[in-house]
Amino acid sequence: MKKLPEIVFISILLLFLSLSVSAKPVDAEYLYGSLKSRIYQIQVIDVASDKKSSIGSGFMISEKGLIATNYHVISGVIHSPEKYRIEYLDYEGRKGNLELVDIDIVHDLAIVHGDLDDIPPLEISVQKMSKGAHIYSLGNPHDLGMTIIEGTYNGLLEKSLYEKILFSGALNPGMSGGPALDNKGKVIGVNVSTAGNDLSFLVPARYLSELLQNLKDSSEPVDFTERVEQQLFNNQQEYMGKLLKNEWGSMNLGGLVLPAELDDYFKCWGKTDENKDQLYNHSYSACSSPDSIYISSDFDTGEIDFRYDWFDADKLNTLQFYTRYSSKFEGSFSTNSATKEDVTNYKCNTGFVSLQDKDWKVALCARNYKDFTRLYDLSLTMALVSEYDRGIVINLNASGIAKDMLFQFVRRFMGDIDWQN
Amino acid sequence: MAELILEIQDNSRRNRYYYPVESFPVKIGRGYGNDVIISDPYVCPEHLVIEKDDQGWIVRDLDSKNGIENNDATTIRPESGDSLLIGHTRIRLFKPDHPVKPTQSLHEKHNIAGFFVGLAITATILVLLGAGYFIELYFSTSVKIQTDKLIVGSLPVMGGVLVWAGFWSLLTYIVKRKLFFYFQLIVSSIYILLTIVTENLVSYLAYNIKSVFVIESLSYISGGLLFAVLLYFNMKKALSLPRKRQWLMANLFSWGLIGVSLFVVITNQSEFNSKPEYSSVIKPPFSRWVKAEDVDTFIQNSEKIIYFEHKD
Repeated sequence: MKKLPEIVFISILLLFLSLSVSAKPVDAEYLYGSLKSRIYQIQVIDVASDKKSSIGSGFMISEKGLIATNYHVISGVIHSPEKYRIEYLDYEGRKGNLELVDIDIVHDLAIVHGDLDDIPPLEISVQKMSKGAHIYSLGNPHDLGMTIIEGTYNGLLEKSLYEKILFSGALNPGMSGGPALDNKGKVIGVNVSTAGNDLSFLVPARYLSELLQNLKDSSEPVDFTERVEQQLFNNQQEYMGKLLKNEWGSMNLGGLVLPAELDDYFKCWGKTDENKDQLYNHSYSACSSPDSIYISSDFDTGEIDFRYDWFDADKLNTLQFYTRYSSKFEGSFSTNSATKEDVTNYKCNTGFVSLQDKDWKVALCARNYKDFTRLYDLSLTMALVSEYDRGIVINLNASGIAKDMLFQFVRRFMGDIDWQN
Repeated sequence: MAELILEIQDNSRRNRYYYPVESFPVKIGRGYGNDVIISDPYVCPEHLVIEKDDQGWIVRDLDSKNGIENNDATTIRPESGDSLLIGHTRIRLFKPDHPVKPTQSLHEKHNIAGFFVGLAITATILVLLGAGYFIELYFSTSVKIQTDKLIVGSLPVMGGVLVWAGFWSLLTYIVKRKLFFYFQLIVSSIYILLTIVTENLVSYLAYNIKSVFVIESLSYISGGLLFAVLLYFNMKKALSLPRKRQWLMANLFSWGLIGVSLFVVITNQSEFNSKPEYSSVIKPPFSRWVKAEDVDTFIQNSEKIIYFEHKD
């Protein structure tokens, strides 16, 4: 009888030990070894030269041969299907063709299909995680071979229009589209971008899960240009609609009350010139939304930014002041580097507009997206012209918005300019 | 004593011949039977005849092929000092007592006082031009600049004007053996000052006008016209061509130059412009005559900026 408690104690201890062994977090070596067969290098092949023109990573997400990757990895195939095709390269060096199945351009995701039946897919996890958890990212950086990187989960970006996981680990070009895994080997995100110095970003796995669930019948041919346009259009309707309903933050500059943080994710900063040889005073403030949507290598959209340049004549006479002031009105800036393949030239309407009993010279310009004709880039430049010794130039740019949203946004923005009492 | 002195200048205007006429009529032409024979292929064998009556000289065109330039009439009554252009030859008619310029001193060329007077005139003109350009620079600066730097900034323009006037003076000297340097200097300086004034006027217009095309056109037209006027006056002293021909040549050259520069600009201009292009001039409140609209009217008028352009 005496031995019973000891036996029970030993049994409990053994059980606890065995449990703790099975629950022990898997290490990178184990994860890589067990999952490498489900990770691929995704290659976009230039048809003319039969050589790869860009690379990324991808991973199996269904038994039917579906592989997830980033939209930006395979975007060349959407814009120039006649010039490019997609291939996979597995860990043993086997190659095969892939076909594009669906995309989510807003969250930079794509699903491709290859003849890769019977490969077990990676499991997707949409469970919440705690900050500080170890996570692992896989991919093929700089075409150097499949790599696993250990890092830390640091939650979702707090001020961001589009949800992204902050991953403290070193993602590198070529790893885009690869999976980020928890310690059970489940996909919690997709590698998407990096800001350098171990600051990397992942697309939360729930967007991949949604894309996978909403996959349409693959027998129907998909017009991906139309799909991109629809997704961009719906997205801007959603966030512009929300912006227009928001109570906007404001800032004071030179006696004016001006729109500032239009939403939580807007960031504003300011500066005053310190040049002692300057005979006038100049301060500026600028605000922007940090998020943009990748369309092609030189074409991003979905950004909003605005800048206020305040001038005070100080020691300049009116003519000198206006020469300096005028040069700022000429210098409209555009953050979008779209080319003539992507957009038309800007078309403008200029005129004098009266706001709160003060007159402004306004240039309202828009250019159309050639492939996505319901979308426009907006450029609004306005300068206060009713004062002799002071003035402000306002520049507002918004990319990828529909006509109605464009005019409503301009109306609201101009309407929110006021003078301090 | 001769009753009429004919001064014949050939096409080059470098050679002058004088024929004292003692009896009338005087027949002038290319033929050898004339009283005055002119070797100019554009002059008829019997081109004109000069007669005399109680009222003075009478010039009659002898039904010549090219007539007497700038004169449709077949009969002219010239005064002493008047000139007739037949073909490429200029004929001036003088009475024997026609006044002549005072005699120049053989030593005048070395007159130091004269040299300094000339220098002073040149300097005054250049200073006036520099002052104009200085004002322009002064109103376009917005940082602390020493006055001497502004003056240095005006020097290239003064230098440019000197070179231009010098070129035309040299040309005048080759053709006419006269310099007319001050004339060329004044004309060139006025041109620069007028260009500054015109550019400013166009920019004030641009502040009120919406169309970039209209503004650019105005800028080119005013530039072309001013340059044509400059060339006309430059040529007026340098060459002895009829006014109409001078004006035509000046315009041809000026507009030709504008045409070539426009061609270069247009051919080098990219079809695609990543920046918006609009009338971007701002001027002080006193220079505006266009009324401000309310926001809604402006936005309504802006509907035109929305257009489709499908990819080829």
